[in-house]
Amino acid sequence: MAIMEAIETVYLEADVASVTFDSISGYEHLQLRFSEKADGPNGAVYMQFNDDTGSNYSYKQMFGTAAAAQALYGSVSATKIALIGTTNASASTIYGGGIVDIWDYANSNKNTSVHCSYGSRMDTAAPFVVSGNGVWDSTAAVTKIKFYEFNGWQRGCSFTLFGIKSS
Amino acid sequence: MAVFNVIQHTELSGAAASFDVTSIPASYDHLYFVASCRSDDSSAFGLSLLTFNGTGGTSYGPTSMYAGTNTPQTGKATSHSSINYIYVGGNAILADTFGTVEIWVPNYADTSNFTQAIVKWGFMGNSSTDYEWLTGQTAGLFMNTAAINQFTFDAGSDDFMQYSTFTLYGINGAG
Repeated sequence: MAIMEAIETVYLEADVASVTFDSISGYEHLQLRFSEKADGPNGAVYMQFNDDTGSNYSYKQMFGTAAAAQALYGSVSATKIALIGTTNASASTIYGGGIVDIWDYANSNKNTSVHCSYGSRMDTAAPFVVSGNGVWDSTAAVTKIKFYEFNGWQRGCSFTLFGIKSS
Repeated sequence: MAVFNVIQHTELSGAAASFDVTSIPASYDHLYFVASCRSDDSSAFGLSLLTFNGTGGTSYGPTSMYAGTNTPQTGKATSHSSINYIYVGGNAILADTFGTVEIWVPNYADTSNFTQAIVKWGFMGNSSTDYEWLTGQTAGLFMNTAAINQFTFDAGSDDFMQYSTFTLYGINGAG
């Protein structure tokens, strides 16, 4: 059996509010790779685990834009992990891309930590490149991942969740 | 031939100074390393070190961009004894929280060129205080043309804590 497998790919044929993965057992690590476009302006990629909507998430990201080579974005005790800068719906031919690493997601001795790499070029005025970390303050095994955007996702987005084994 | 192959996986049952893999065969194209680890350093972070083939001396040149405050930074070292600028959470951060590390070592068995490692690392507790969170990326050059047969990820002057996990993969391309 392969060490790295594609668990599921979701390709959006229509606009949706969120994408959820809930059949994710049997691996050591998870990695989500996505191509996205928000269904409105000034968005951010949001993540929640196991339907937890409490203030149990914290995250920090460094990012660069055309105007500023370095800046910072983040929050503690938030209700989700946010990844700044989804690609704007007004940029009709542009989708952003990203990778989220979720190591040891099923290890009940650990909170779930993630690393995010993301980039988009919404238009010439507002591109982003982002690298950051986040944590879900819970030692529960992750059984469900909700990946959403407050404006919703546009048709044409794709999300693939990979599972990586350790034996 | 499988693309991903597990060379070695360890979950610590107690504190350990390092994850060390020896006798790595030259039969893969690349090496890929994943760690979820926490340092027992009494501060909010611990410095981890990567070396190859048991070699120290002045063989490494790391360069990093990272943030632990509101102003992201860069750093480098020349003729260094390891690839440093790899920070994981220490024992002062949120309980049960482990840092993330990913290392890509392309063409590790090539004997014509030096070996490059690309590292993504970071940790986040539940604090916005400077250096109680860190995130960054580091490139490190091993200035030696020997094929890599030993991979050592070391907790420096500290230990990695129980439940830290480390996995080294061998990666094959097509053909």
